[in-house]
Amino acid sequence: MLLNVQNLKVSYGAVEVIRGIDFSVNKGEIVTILGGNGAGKTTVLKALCGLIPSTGGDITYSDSKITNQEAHRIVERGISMIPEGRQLFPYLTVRDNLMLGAYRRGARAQLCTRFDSVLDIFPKLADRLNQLAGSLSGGEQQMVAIGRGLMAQPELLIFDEPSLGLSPLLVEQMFGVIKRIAREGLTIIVVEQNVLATLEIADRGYVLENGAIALKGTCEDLKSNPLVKQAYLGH
Amino acid sequence: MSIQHSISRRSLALIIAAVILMLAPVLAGSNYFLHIAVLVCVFGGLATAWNIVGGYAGQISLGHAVFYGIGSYTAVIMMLRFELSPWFGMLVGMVISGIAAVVVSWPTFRLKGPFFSLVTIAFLEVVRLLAIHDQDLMGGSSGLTIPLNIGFEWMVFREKEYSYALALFFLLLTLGVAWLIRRHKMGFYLLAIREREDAARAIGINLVSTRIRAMVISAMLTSMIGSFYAMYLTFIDPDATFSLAISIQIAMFALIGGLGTVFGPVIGALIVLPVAELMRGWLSTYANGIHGAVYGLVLVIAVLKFPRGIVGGLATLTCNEKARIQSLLASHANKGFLQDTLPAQVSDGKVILEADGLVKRFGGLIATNHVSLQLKQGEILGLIGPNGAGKTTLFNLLSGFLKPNSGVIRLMSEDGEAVNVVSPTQCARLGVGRTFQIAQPFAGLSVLENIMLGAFLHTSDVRAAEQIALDVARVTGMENQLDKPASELTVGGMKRLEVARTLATRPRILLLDEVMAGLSPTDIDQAIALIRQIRDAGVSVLMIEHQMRATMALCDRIIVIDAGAVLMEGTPDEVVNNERVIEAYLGSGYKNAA
Repeated sequence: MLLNVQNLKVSYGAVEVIRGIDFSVNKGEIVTILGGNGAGKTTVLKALCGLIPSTGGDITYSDSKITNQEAHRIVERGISMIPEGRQLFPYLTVRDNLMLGAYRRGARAQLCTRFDSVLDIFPKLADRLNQLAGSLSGGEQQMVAIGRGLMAQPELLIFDEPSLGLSPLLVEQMFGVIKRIAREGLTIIVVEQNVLATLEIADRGYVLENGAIALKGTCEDLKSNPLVKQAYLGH
Repeated sequence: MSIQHSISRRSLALIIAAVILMLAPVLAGSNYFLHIAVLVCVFGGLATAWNIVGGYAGQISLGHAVFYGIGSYTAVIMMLRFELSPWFGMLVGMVISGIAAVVVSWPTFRLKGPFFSLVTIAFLEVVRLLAIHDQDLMGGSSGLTIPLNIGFEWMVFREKEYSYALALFFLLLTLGVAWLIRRHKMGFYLLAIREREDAARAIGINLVSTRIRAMVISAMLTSMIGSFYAMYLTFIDPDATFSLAISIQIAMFALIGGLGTVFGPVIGALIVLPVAELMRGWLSTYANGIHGAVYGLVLVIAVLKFPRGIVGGLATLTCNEKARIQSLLASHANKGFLQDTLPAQVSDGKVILEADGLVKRFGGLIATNHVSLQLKQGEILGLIGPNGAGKTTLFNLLSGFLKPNSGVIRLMSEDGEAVNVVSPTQCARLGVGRTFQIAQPFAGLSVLENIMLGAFLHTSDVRAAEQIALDVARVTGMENQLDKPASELTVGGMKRLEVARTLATRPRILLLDEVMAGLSPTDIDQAIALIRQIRDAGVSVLMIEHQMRATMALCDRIIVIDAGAVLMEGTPDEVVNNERVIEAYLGSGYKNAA
């Protein structure tokens, strides 16, 4: 088990938004977390990455605790997040954005090979390297965001809404990219509103409702579950 | 009931505070305490006036002593030259300061952050040097001494109690103005500009005039207090009046007390000033200069402990906004916003928005390449295309945010006249509402206040704006989040807020930029129903959307843009079956699914 989360709790002020959830991710898996708006998906991811403090529970990553460690230490351990809404450095070039991803110790040594492999996945970026990241279109920005995450040479890559604001064609390509990255041996957590497409590529899923896990299972099970069908597949 | 109750309790607390303020120094009986009390009133007033620009509008002026100095010098010069009462000089000073404020803020309103601050410092420095070099009128570097004419009309008194009463009067006057601004449309508009300029323009706020008005009011109040303080000191010179140190001190009191709050600046002055003065008195006997060190320490602790200022920090503890909104909602009669509040329109299929031959270049890139389109009254027109095709650029052109290199955009006004689009503010006032692809909430304000800001386009009354906001919140399903700060919403919530704020402007034409991105399938169903209702109320809708399910369900016509130009135009069915559209946009997966 690569990542094991037990009884995780997160509060904003007096309001407990994550109310003690358990989930785990095995090495090489693609795991998805589903849920409506405000269910707490992004909050769980942020707590995993140390961007917000958890108020209870344990997060174990390859046999050692990372609960409430500082975000940069968690990146050092090998967890990278591709945040919702891309969050690039808009006034830096594409090249600099990618290079900043390799800030992690250990990643710096293999900078060049990583860089080449990112351009291999996203050949379009090769023409854009000297452009400011803020001037790219939405799809290209998403490519840079994923590329930046890959530059850290993570073992666990977390996607928060990778298809947000992309055209149908690009959404299709994006899921192809996630699958390709997984084939290369990375472990992946995906949060997506595009439930149907996500269940196609993932191995297992958890359904989060009001800060608690309402349902879990393999993607095959979830796809045929009437509750999931009605609430998340829209028919 | 409970609202009335809390208001009366608050005003009671204010009255008690005012009585204590009035009596305390007098009862203390010592002239030294009275002097500190006058200082607190003067600097509290100056900080309050500064806060209208620095706090509400978020433009940190570090040259506010210029207006203070103008007030001082005008009153003194009028007195020396023409033997006029400083009350009259005070008024003249306020007029001059108001004009000076326009002169400073007109060319600098585009500057933000440190640049605006630098310009204000430079302006202050220029005026200070002029004052030093002007021997005749302003007495040069040696300054001016005020003749000791005692009496109310000369603002000079033998007993400090009278000076204190007058100082308190000016403080309360300034506070009153600051309070009124904060409670009214102008205050909301200033906060909106501070938070997000583009979003403010999209809801019809004129950035220039709103900022200048704030600056003028702030300058006039500062000048008024300057005139009084000159009479109290009975001596002025350029270095002490046109002083950067004073400018910074004023800003600091506001920062420590709570930037952008009504009472923060006074509280800041009330806490910091006596500490500074008493330290000077008590500690200078032990070691010279130690009071400065202690003073500095107090400031560091204050800033660390209360990063949002003392009042800002307390405000989060005594949060009764939630209860107030609950009771507002309870007493709110459910009006059919879409039917009753939106401007009634006949969907007669006439062209309401028209673009003709639009071209927009960014350097060598042609983002919009000879695009023409027509939006008819009461229709839903879809705009789709690959990422980077220029859809958002086209939106920015249509809503006046960008100027085309060539081509025209015509908008049918309510009277049926064709008007050329020139600016976002004009566009909003003519009834074009737009949302932003990357949501632009006024992050520091509550959801309720965000929606109210849209409503202010057609009303100046806060209560009326509140009612409209409640109506809109009900329609858009944001009722349960009204008291939340907009920054705490989820991405989907922010998208919904974009729509709500725009709806509150009562648009005739609605431009929606990817409002469904980040929504779950069930939320998308709700959004589809909402947009259909909006259209049925007579609003014409132009929407950019990647969620094909929504586009297919809603749109009467679809225009496909690729590489800046129109690829095709047609009904949803024609579009999804077009080979070129499938290749450029939909992808093969969609073809198989359809």
